[in-house]
Amino acid sequence: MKYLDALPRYIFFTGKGGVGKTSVACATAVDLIDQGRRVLLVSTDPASNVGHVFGQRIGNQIMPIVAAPGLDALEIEPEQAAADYRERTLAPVRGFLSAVDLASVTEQLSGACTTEIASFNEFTGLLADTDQTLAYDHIIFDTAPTGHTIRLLQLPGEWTRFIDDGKGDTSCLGPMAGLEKSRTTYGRALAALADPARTRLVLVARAQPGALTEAARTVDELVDAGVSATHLVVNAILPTDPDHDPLADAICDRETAALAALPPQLADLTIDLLPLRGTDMVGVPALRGLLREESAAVPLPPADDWSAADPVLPGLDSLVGALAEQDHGLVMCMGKGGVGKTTVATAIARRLVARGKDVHLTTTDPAAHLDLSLAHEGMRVSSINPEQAVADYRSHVMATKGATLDDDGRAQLAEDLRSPCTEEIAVFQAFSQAVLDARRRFVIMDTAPTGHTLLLLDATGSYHHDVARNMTPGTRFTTPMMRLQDPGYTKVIIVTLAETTPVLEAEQLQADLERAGIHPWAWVVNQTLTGNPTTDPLLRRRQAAERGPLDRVGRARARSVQVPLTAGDPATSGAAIHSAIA
Amino acid sequence: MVALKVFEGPLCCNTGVCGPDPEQALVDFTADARWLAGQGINVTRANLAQDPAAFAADAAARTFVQLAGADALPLVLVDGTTVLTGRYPSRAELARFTGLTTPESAPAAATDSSCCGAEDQPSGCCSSAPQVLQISAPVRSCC
Repeated sequence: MKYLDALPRYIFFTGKGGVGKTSVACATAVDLIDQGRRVLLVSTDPASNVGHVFGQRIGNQIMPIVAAPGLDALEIEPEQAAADYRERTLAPVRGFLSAVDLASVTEQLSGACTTEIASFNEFTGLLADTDQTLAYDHIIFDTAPTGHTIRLLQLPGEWTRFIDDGKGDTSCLGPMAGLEKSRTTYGRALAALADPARTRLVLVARAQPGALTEAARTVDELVDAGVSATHLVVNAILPTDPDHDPLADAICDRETAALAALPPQLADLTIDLLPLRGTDMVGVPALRGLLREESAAVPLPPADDWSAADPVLPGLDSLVGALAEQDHGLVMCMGKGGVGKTTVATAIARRLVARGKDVHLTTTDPAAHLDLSLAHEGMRVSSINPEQAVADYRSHVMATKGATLDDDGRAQLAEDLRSPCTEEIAVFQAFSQAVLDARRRFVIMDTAPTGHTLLLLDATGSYHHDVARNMTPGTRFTTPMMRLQDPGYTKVIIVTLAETTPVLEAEQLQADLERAGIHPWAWVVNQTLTGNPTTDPLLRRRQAAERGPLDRVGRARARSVQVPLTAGDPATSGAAIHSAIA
Repeated sequence: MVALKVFEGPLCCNTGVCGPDPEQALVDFTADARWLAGQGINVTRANLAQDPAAFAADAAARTFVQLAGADALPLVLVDGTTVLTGRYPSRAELARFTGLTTPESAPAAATDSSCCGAEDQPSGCCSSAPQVLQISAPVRSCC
């Protein structure tokens, strides 16, 4: 494994949920203690299963791992960290703020930014040399802050000016009121993070176009924040099946193609390929096997009372049938990067066209083939490039709101316009014409802003002001938010994968939307192996592992469907998608 | 050294120039506050979401929010005296409030039609000279 060469003190693994970061982090920890090093493993995965991997309870205190002498571990629960952070921040004002004001302040502190900063805050101390950390040769984190969080914490202008003012080291952290450590500590942590001699940042991905595109974006974001990811681990690559099971062959072909078309940002990294192992990554022996060659035959998972060849949940057609009861409306597919929102949106659009509906598919997928092939099928297709949308939005704000600023002010404004919610909104605004189009026909989108962003926008943004300005008392008006909250007009579909972490992330997404009064209409579990007959033992094991997440989604939501992975592209080979037409 | 403190409503970052749609008033004031600090004035900004502790620590801010609510912010204080509420000051006003210019030498800020609060909310936007408002006895000033 190249990523293990000359390993510095701090190791961060970053990648989207479900790619196996925790397994790789745990295996790395075991590898290091086998060499006699002392290691601390820190997990901030919302579905942290480090405890399960080592067969013991771990909490938010550093604990020795009994099964792996020399290894200590710590689990930080991000949502809990965020709640504690909010509590610390709001404690001083609870006594004198009205309920309404308190709610509005709480919402400001309820976004993804707060969750990330709170998590980073929890492990900042571990990135500084303290009595707590001096005992370890290596500290491994199974997650890394995003570029946005790093930039927030850098606060270059704010901090330098603050030092220049000679005010000493108190809490002038602006967006980080809940941070209770000293500015020096954050400064040191960020310096350690950006120094390759002290920190190695390893991206973890799967050999799938979506996961790799997401990883490439992460690289760009980190570079913008002055941090370089240097290594890439592509995890769980399916080895060739000697018996040539059709599904296994199709997946092999797809993974080979994805690796051949690696985005340029990733091609320059030091790359390790990890084959899919035939054992669950539980226990020290299994972890040792993850990073080493193993040639043992894979045992078939124990047979149980369900056949993985049959889908657990109904197919996409059951959703399309329900949609088709109307002849217009907005359908927004939402989910984390890499879960296949575009393919799901496209599949829904094609099926509605097949039912004779007037459909406009609008997507952030820059792939031109999408436009050409689908436009022939009798639907309108439009696409926007997110990067372009963000660039347009920024230059628009700079040209209008920044018009009268001096250079200093413009630099500050440019920096401030780099938050993730800016991207959500820029893309959404580029789609805003399409939102209105849904009054007359179906408009299917493959993206949506989070509830938190919508709430802030609705409360303070120009939408609200435009409406308020143009309102004569007593008239009825509709904000975009009201359209999104109207279940007769908008249906949000949450897209996820049949794995523990992606399902948890999707649940958080749903809770966030519900805070904004938007109730997701349906869930799609995408790319499931379940629902495909296969004889490949590795795939059979993975099918067995999907059962839990699929059951969890099916139990929790009345309208949940699954889209089994197919040999072809699910968006263009409708026939291959198992449909459950009742 | 003159100290100017601005207590602001909840914003999603310390300047409010952030999030999906930054407000012009905040973009302008952020630049003006930087300018003022460059003139040697001790400028402190605190908003309810990012720095609530500052409200708890300042009697004037605490009482103001209690009586008038967050909607009546911002509250601008110079050395502890309220000089403006309900809207952000212009660069000219900042200069005058902090003694960088005198009332004669600086033109009054253009009034912004949207800045006048409701009848019962103190608002300093309508008179040529800034009103010093006692929070405990709200002054009704209207356009």
